[in-house]
Amino acid sequence: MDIRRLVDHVADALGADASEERVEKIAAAILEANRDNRSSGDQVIITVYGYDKPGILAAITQVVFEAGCNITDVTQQVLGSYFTMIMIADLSGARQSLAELQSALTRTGERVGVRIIAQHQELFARIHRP
Amino acid sequence: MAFELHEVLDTVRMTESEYFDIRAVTLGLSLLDCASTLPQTVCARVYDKVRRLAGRYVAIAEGVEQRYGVRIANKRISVTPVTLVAGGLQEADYVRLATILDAAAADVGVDFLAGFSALIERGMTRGDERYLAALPEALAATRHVCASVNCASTQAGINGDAVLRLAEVLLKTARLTSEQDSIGCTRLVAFCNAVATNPFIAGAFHDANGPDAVVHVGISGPGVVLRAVRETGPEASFNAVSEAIKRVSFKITRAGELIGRHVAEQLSREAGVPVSFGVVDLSLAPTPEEEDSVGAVLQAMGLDDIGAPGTTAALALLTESVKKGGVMAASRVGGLSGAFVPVAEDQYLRRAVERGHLSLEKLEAMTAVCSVGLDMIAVPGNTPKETLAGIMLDEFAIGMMNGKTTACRLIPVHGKTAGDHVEWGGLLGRAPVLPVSAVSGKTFVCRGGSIPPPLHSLRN
Repeated sequence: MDIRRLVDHVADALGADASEERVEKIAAAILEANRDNRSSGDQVIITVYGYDKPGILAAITQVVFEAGCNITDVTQQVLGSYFTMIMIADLSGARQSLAELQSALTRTGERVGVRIIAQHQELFARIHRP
Repeated sequence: MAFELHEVLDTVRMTESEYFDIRAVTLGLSLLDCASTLPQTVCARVYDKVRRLAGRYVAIAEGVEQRYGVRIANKRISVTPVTLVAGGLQEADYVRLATILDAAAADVGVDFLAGFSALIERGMTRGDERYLAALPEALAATRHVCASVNCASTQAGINGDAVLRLAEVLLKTARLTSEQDSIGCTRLVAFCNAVATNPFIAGAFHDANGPDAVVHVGISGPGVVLRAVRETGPEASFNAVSEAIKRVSFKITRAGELIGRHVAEQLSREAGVPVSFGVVDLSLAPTPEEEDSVGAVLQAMGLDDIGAPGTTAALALLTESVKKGGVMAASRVGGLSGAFVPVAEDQYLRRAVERGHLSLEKLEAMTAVCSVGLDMIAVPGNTPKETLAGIMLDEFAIGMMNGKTTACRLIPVHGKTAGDHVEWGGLLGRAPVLPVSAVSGKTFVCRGGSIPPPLHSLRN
């Protein structure tokens, strides 16, 4: 992670509340969290897209929670009526196998009317990282 | 986030809508320990070995598909060329061995098993002769077994006797499988410079110098490359097109290696024998799906149709760019690593042939720049054996002189003439019957002996 970019980002987010001490503390916490994430290579990247409606995030979070996975990152975008979300979940302490989680997510996607794709992060790491 | 949003979406878009897949995962199995002079012993050992090592292969590959959300289009098996383990068998025994391999393939759930093969570029043993005599019946009696015959190499030259003999085998196979438009010939490839690490059917076979079991992978098909080329637009330079193809080739090769290694590791654990990872083959292999076409990529580069002047150069640009992007992405690259232009399996090529824009002679020229050969080409059933042999000799001369693999998968469709259509269905697609030259080279083709290898075969 580019530390300079991270510090700028934290400072921007804090706006008027930014102090050198607070920025350093938050940036250090984010770096620490990322280090934790990296230590477990057993992560799944869940991509969701479809028409926006209430309850999508809640339904997916519920499935991931029930599988015993820790959600380490979420980003979502709503453009007009279209919803896109990417969630990263840690499988290292999961009660379910990846295949079981994938099946549960597919069923949930069919129920709430969105497409959900869950792929092990190794695929993205191999394609996008040297 | 560990990955940028666009990185995740780019990959998901590839897997969801651009035919991004792993085109072939092929498990190579050595049959050297199955050799015996007793035919029933060879058959029993072969059947047992395929069942034992590949029993869980398809299930494991399906698990890996699910883990990464990437489809493995074809899960296949290749074996040691059978003539190396069954040299003492009689003609009827070879047919029996083929049916045993067919049953083993069906039992473990693969659609094709390849390696019913012979390497006869330097000459034929009596066992090879019995194999060739049995080959038409073996292909007619099976559905999953694929055969290949290496007739030439840069080191050995071209075995002209073998080529002529193979032309006879083709015509007999076509006749024996005439009820299904001579489908037996779709499972028979003739090679120059055959490569033992090739994961693609029908020409795959397991390296006689290789380990007991190895997994080779063929990268994704042309669909993802097509998108990359289209996105460059008509104004982009050759260099810009090449760069775009290299970038996507890098990605699909990385994914291919990941999946191949995972299948090999898991199979090793479950089969209880070491299964090594072999190579990533950087060949683009089309399917009959509309946009999964090498021809479509060539057209997207700016040709009105395939066969237009510039086609050979466009194919050279494509194959070189795929290789350059892929070779940096994988630790071991091999196999054929070219591009396939199988007329029956590629909608754009098929239509170019139907419109009269793409001829057999232009296809031959294309194979000189690293497409793999005259592949899945239907010709009239009454084509003389000398003409078939002449076509193969020309193709092998290109391979021999250029130090590259060339192949012929010609189907002289029994009872059909130029302009007719044949429909094999599934991955084999449908094809127009191409006209062949009526001018004969019979006296030349029938001279016998070998065409000597080129001077540059003397490398030491």
